[in-house]
Amino acid sequence: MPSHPDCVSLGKNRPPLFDRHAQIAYRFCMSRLLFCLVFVTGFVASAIAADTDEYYISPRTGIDMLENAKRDAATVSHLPRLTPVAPLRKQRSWQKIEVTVKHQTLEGWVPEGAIRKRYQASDIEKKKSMFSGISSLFRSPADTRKTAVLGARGLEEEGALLKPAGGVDKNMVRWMEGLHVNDSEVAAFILEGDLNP
Amino acid sequence: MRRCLFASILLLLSQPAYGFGLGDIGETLYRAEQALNLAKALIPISDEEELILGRAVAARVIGRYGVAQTPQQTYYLNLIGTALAQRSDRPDIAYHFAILNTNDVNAYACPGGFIFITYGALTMVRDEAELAAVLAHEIAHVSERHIVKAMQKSKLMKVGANVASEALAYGGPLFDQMTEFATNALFEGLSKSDEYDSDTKAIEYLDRLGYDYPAMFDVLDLLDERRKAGETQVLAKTHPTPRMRRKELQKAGRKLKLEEPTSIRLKPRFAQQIQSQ
Repeated sequence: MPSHPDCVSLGKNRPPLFDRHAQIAYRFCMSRLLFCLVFVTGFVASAIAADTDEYYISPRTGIDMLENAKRDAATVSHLPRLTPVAPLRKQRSWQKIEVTVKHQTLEGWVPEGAIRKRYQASDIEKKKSMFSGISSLFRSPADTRKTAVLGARGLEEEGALLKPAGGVDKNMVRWMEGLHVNDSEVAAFILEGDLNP
Repeated sequence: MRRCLFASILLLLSQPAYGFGLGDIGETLYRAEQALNLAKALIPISDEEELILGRAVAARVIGRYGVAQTPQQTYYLNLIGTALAQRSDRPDIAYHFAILNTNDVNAYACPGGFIFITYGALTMVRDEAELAAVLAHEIAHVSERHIVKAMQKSKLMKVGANVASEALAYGGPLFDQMTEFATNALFEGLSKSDEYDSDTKAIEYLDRLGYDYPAMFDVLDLLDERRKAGETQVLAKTHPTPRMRRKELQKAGRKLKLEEPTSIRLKPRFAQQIQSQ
């Protein structure tokens, strides 16, 4: 079959129009691929950046836990809670940390769970604003919402309602939890009252 | 032909780029998916997390009123409450009961199973079945997780599940806000439907344990008398009127398959345990 004269000069056995379309599609796809690549690079970079966020000693981590951290390196102890620390390396369930106390940098080991990423208030605001529009589609039933509104109203009036009325008594909560009623006592109580066993 | 095939493959491969926020539709879909995940993530508050929250709320309730340290009465209260809780729809958590040092007529159910009855309410009821009716109503609030559900639906929890569970496990300002929210929901009152729902559940629990379940109606009548006498100001602010509750309970009671009332009121035992103190 004789070749097209234009194609002979280019050394290709295809019509020139088809070649141009393929080239456009190729360029379009490559640009898309490039965008995708840029996005992925940004995503990876943000993940790396997140890893360098500030870490701190968990508020529920007692100083005891820090004192019990026994490794070859010096043990960091008597750190106040919520002290910012820098995580160094992990070994099994232990985490090496670096902490600056009074201009002195210390290194030590703590249980892995003892340090937590610090959530900034701005993170929360960002999440709320980002999804508030769409999440409003998933509205709660009216009554549950009313309870929520009442609670929120209470929050606003919290200064006026709660604070003058009293404090917090955790000891009595422990006392309540210590009052133990076992199953046999309950069973005897039910039988004594002629209730349904 | 080969170039055409190559271009088609590239075109297909490049389509996910829309999903990464480069096209309007892709972005909307991506955000919708995130919102769906967020909506799902709002739901779980585990029993352990609820218990942590409940402890904090209970500490505030006690801080406000104080607890009557009367071991015999509190033990009796715990026996009735535990027996009812075992027949509730959520028998797998530990319930704790105590008496609040106030003459207000009221009762409170904190998340996690911490239940309080005021001294005023304890002296108002006339027999064990009526006391059981008050406790059953509060147990129903816990078993139906009314406060927890309200909190999950509130704006407070729209911070992402990981942040919320972090706050519940490790404390911090958000945990304090959650505690304040739950405490205020308790003091400000739940929704009417939550209260009606708890009344209905209370009748069921009384029936399951074998108490004379019309005691629930008698408690509502007592509350109505007190309300008319102006002695239930706090309760009136946080609950629907006893008359409305009675009406709703009668309506809901018709749908329940209850046994015949047992007439078990246990007045002598109640008098021995409570009134002799």
